[in-house]
Amino acid sequence: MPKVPVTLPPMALAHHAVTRLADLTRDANGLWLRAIDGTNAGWPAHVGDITAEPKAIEPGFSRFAPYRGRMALHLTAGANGGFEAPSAAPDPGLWSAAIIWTSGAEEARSLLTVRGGGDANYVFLAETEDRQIVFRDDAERAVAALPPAGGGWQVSILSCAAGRLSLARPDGAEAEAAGVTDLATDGRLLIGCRNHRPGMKKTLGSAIISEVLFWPGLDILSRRPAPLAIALRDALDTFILWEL
Amino acid sequence: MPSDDKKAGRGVLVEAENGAAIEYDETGLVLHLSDIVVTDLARRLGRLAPAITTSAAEQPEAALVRQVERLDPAVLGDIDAWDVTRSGDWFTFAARLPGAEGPRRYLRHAAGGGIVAETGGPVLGILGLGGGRQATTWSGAPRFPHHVVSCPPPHEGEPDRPVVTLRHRSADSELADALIAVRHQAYRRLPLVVTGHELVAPGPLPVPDAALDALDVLLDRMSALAGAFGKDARLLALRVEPGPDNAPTDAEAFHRDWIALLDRLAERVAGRDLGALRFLTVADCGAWWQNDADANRPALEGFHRLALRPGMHQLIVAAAGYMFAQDGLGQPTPEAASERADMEAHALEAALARQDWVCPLMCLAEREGDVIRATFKTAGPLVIDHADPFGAGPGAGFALAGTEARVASVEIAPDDPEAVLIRLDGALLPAPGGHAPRLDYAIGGPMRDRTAGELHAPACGALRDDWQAVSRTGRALHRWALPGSIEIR
Repeated sequence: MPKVPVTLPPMALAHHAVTRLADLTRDANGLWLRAIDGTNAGWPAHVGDITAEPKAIEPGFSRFAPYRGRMALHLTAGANGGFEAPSAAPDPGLWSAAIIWTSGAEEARSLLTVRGGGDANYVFLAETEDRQIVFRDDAERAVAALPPAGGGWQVSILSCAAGRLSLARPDGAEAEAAGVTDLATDGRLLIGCRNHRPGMKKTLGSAIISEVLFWPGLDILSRRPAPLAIALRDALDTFILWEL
Repeated sequence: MPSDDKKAGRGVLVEAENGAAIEYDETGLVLHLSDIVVTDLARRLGRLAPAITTSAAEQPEAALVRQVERLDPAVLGDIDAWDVTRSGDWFTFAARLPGAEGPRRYLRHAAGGGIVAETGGPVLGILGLGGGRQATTWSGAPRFPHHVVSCPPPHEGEPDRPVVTLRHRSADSELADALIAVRHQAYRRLPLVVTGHELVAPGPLPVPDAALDALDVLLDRMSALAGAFGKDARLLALRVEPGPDNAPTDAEAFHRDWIALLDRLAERVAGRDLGALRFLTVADCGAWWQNDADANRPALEGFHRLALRPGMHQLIVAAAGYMFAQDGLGQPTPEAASERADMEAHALEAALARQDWVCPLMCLAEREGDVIRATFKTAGPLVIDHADPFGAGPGAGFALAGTEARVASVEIAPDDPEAVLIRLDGALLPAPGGHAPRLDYAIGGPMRDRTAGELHAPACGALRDDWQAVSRTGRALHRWALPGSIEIR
C-alpha cells in the first residue's frame, strides 16, 4: 500500500466523518464514548474529559470485543456490566444522545439512562422483549416507541427537552411523547443499565453497544433546531453513512 | 484514524502521514471530495440530466421547473413516442406501440429493457412452478405486451434489466393476458402483471431446494420492481401442477408430499408482504395415451384428496384438465391454452371477489341396493352432458374398480341435484384380491386414436355443473367435475 509523506487536512482523510463529529461534539461540551477505547477497568471518552466507571459488580461480565466489524461493549442478561458517567447531564430535562447498538438472540433491554439522585423520576432507552425500541420515563407518563428495525447495527437518536421525549432512526422513523415531570438535577449517564447500584436484574439485557454520543443542554430533534444541532445531526448522518 | 471499525470489505489504498486518504470497498473507491469538486459535480449533473434532482423537497421551485422539462423522444430509439420526461431512473412517455393497449403512457428504465404501461394499483405477480405440459410455451408476444411482463434474473454476461418484455407466451402469461383482456373490455383498471415460471423436471417429490431458491429470486425481483415504481407487490397466484408427472406410488403419499410442498412454498412467501397466498392449479388428467385406470389412480386419487383437504392453504382448482385438448405429443393446443387461461381467470376473479369456485367434487359413494349414489360438492345443480364432448362413453366417466360389476347407466338423482345415481349390471361383489369396490370418476377410459385430431385425456367424464361462459376462442366453457376415486360404502 503506497504511503505518501504528507499530512492532510483532517477533512481530506477517508475518516473525515469521525473528525467532524468529534469536533462538533467537543463544541457542544458533549461526550463521545467509543468501544474501541473501552477496557474492563474504565471507558475513557474519545471526546470529553471523563472516564466512565464500570458497574461490573460481577467481575468478568463486562467486556469489549469486536462484533460485526466494530468493537463493542458486550453485556449479559441479568448481570450488571454497564458503565456510568457521573454528572454528564447537569440538567436531566434537556439533552440529546445517539447510541449505536445491536442485540443478538436476546433483547438488549437497558441501553442508556439519564438519572438524577434519589428516587426521582428518570428517563431511559431500552429494547423490550418484543424488540420494540422504547424511550420513556420511569413513571410511564411519556413513552415513545419505535417498531423493531431488523438485524444489524442500529442507531437510536434521542432527545429530552421541556418534558418531551423524541426518538428517531436515521431512516426517518420517529416517535414522540410528552409529559415527563419530576426529574432531579445533576444527572448521571448510565450505559447498559438503569441504576448505579446493583440490582434490578430484569432491566439488564444482552446489549451490544459500539458508540455513545451525549450532548447536554441541546435538543437535536427539535422542530426548530439550533445551528449547532443542525450541524451535529448532519455530522451524525455522515458518520453513519461512512463508518457504519 | 486508528480504528478497528470498518465497513465490511473496506481497505486502504493510499495512506497519508495522519491517516488513510483513499480507501476502497466492493463498489468503488472511498474518498472525500472537496466542496469545490462537489459544487462542480452538482452544476454539471444538472446540465447533463436536467430532470434528475434528489433535492426536490428542498428546492420546490427549481423542481417544478424541471418536472415539465421535455426530453427529445429520440432518447427512446426509433419508436412512435412523445411527451418524454424523466423521473428518477425511468423515462415516462406517451407512445403508440404494438399490442392491444393502444396509445397511452408508458415507462422504460433509463438503462434500457422492456417498456411497461403506466398502471394504477399494486404490481401483481403470477408465478408458476412445474414442468411437463404446464411449461409449454408458444412464440409470439402476449396480447397486452406492456401489461404482461417478466423480471427474470439476467443471463450470465448480459445486463441486468428490471423489466423484460415477453417474446413467448406461457401458461402464466396467458392467464395474465386473460385477466387483463376482461378488464380491458370493461374499461376497468389494468394492472401491471409480472409473470414467471420456475421449471421443475417431472419426477417424484420433493422438489429440490434450488427450484424454490430460484422462485425466491423471482419474488425478490418482483418486489424490487414494484418498489422502483413506489408501489406494493401482490402475488396474485402461485400456479402449481400436482399430477401424474410426480410419478406417485400411492394416493396417500401423493397427498402428504404435496401438502409438504405447499407448506414449504408458503413458508418462502410468508413475511414478504405479498398479500394472501393463493395456489392455483388444474386437475392434470394425464396425456391422451394414459388410459389405464389402475396406472392413473395414484395421482388422480391423490389429487382428489388434495382438492378435498388442502391443509392450511387456499388451493383453487380452476378446472378438470380433461376439458383441454392436446396435440399428438400430449401438449396443450394453443386454443386449449387460451381456454385454460380463461378458466383460471374466472376462478381467480371469483376468489378475489370472495366467491367460491368449485368444480364438482365427488365426496361420497353409497350403496343403495343395486344403485350407487355419488354425492358431490358443487356450486350448482349437476348436469350430465349427453353431447359427451370428450368421448367418455355411456358411463359419463363413471367406472367401478375392485368388482366384476360394470356401470349400466347414470342419471342425476331425481331427489338431489348434487348427486348422481349409478346403476350396475350386476351385484356389487368384491373381486378376488381383497380390495373393497371403488367408484371412479374420470380415472381411465377408452384408448384414443392418435389420428383423430384434437385429443382429450381418456381420464375424462361428461359431468359438470350449470355454470357457463364463452372463451376468447369462441367455444363454450363449462365447469367439469374433477377426477375422483372413493371406496363405496
